[in-house]
Amino acid sequence: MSKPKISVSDLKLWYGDHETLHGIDVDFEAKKVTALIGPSGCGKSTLLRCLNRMNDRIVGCRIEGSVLLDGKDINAPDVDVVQLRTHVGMVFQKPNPFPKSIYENIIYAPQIHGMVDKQGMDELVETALRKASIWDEVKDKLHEPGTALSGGQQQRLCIARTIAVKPDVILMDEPCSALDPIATAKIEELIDELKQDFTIIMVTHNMQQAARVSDNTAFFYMGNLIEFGETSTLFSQPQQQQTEDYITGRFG
Amino acid sequence: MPHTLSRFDNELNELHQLINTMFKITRKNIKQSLASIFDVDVEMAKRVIERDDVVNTLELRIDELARTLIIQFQPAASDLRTVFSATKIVTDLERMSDLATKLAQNALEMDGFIPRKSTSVPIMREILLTQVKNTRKAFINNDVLLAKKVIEQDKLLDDSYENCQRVLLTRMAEDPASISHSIALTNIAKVIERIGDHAVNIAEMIIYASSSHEVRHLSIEELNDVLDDEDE
Amino acid sequence: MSLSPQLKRRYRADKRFKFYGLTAIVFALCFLIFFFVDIIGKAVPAFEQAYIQVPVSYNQSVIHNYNRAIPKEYRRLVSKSFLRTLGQKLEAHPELMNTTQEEWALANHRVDQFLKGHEGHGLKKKYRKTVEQMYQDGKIEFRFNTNFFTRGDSKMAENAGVLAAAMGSIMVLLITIAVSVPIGVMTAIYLEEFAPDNRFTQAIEVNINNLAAIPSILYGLLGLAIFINVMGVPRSSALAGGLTLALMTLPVIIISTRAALRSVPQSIRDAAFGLGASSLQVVIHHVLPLAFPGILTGSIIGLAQAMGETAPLLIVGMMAYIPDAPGSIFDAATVLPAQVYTWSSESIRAFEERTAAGILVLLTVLLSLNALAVYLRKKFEVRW
Repeated sequence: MSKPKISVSDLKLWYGDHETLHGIDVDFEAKKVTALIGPSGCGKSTLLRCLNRMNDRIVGCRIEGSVLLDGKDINAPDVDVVQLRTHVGMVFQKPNPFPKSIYENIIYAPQIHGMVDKQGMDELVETALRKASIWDEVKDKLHEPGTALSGGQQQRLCIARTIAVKPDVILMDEPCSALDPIATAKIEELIDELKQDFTIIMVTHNMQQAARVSDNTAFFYMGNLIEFGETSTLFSQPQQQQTEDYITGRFG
Repeated sequence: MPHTLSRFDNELNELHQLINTMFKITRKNIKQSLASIFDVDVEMAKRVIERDDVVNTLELRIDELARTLIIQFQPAASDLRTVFSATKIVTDLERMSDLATKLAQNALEMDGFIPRKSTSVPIMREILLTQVKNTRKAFINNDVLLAKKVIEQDKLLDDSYENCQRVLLTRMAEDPASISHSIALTNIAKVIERIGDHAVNIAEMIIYASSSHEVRHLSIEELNDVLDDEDE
Repeated sequence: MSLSPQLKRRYRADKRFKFYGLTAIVFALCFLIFFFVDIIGKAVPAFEQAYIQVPVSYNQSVIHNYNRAIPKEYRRLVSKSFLRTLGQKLEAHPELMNTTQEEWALANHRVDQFLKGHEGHGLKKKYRKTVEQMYQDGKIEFRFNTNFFTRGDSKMAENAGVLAAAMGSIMVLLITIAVSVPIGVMTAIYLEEFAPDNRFTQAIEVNINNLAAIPSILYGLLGLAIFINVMGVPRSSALAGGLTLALMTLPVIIISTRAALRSVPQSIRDAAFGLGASSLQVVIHHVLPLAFPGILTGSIIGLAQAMGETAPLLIVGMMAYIPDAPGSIFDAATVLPAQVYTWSSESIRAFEERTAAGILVLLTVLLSLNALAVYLRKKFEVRW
């Protein structure tokens, strides 16, 4: 395995007195799709939110251990969380475009980070929308509200919005759970294309989806990483009984 | 542990039962086709030929069930291996039954010609019958070790076949009058050896399904290595 | 398929329940209609006022005693407020000196009430014939009561209007808005978006919720103690009243603003934070615009409530006889509800209809404010 993009070691997390993650060690390969699977409450989403410090805002949340992005600890005091989030973008479970125009949705983050001047705006919007394979569908209505799009289009708009700041890593928290199968397929197709440029880490409840789109899969259970490996191996011959039971539908 | 969906468990079970039935009939066909040759029993040979249809029907039915399982439940891990190997095993069983039919047809054509003990064909018959019996047992019990034994036994069958060929060749050279008889015997030996190969295929799939190890095309030593790793 | 008895019972229970609800609504509606019919019925006559045509003789004696300007038999029929203006009129128009003009004068409230046929008009018997005769001759006529909207309070009922009170109300309202909206909205934003969730903020929250339920008169006492006694704000002034009402409105605004902020979906905040927006940017760029209609309606309803409030103003001295519209926020002022209250305790019959008219004006203003709130909400509402 080449040098990992994100390397998590001995990561523990508490909500108040409740330990939710019990020492996670996992490396995420660059420009690969890694799927995090496991039953609800197993800590996969929590881990995902550790990777861009979305847990910072939760009162009483405390972590131990390290998360290295390109070898640099993201929880180090000299790392700014705002800057970190321009490197590690996030796409959420429910499509959540801002109730503004498509154009404004895309341009918002580059603008607040001062990444773009007036001349470059149109180009940046087009590039981001093209990369998210939604340009052809929205190019004639860039100034209509993003919320008027269909669910799948909204989610691709959110992905476009995320890649507009040119992050290295995209975190996806069950990006298709609110979408119909065709919209889901489009997102999966998009993920396949995006992994040429980005490292993608996605949480999913849909095991077939994990099997379809990911290169590596990590199985979590009760706040522990039970098994991590190549997706094809993990789904045909898992090494751990718990993984076996989970992916064959025998618990969870 | 039972599956969350009991229907999935039921259908997997049905798959297993159907293959078991197919096994039983195939084994009977092999046994009786050989018997029909050795005991010159034309009626028995005819019954074997008739029964081949049952095996063919079973093959189609099992394939259908496996497809349904894949569509409805998208099996993964051990379930995936079970369904996948089931389709493979069924193919081998069908071939075995075909070969048994061929033997039975030979029995009809040989017209009361009994293979003497002068060759190792009777030994091959014994080895094959054990092999087939063990394969079925290994399948029923998901017994990796027994399946391994089946693979090992095949060496014996191969050796006997070689031996048999050598003997028959020598005889044909020495006694040209026996050539047609010897060729018939060679054919029978060859079919027995082929059936043994299919048994080995099935044993390999049994090992794959229950231990997840891919053991096809491995030598006995390599096979031992792979399975020893498992125990550690 | 026939219905089972149990199912039938359930449907009957449904119908019964619907009927109870409908009865309750009809009952409430009846009260409302009765109230409106009563108020409007009483108020409408107040918008008409009797005027009387009398000969006015301008001469030297008028300057000293305006009563002499008109013949004795008419003196009791004309409003004193008309007579008082004669001296000024003469000064402004000296050419009128030593002439006698037939002029339309504001009639006395007794004449007015007598002609409107109200009980307790107080017109003496000896004048009644004259008045009736004059009315038939067209020498007394009813005109639209512009005084009601252009004058302040007056002891002469026919001359009393709501203008001073309305001006006072506007001033008080402006002060209340200027103080309570910024403080309330900022407090709510801090509590909802920035404050850590600890015992201290929880205590503040509980207290704010309790404050909204405190009897409003206590705010008056608080205003009296703090603004008038400690800070030296003039008593009865619009400033004192406005500040007191601001105190009273604060909890309402804070609570409604927090509710509006809370109704902004968490996913929008997540999206903005996920893109690297700072807390302030999340609030200003995303949360506030979405919460704006809610904040607006909450504030308007809180202010409408403040506008109809009298109890705290009683304590800070705004329930007083204030004939003139206040010139500045430090002048003594009164407000519409206080004016209504003052009139309602007058004994003269003409004030009774003015009370109703005052209520009608107040209700119109409040309903307009509520309508404005609904309109703004619809206009700014973002759908997604």
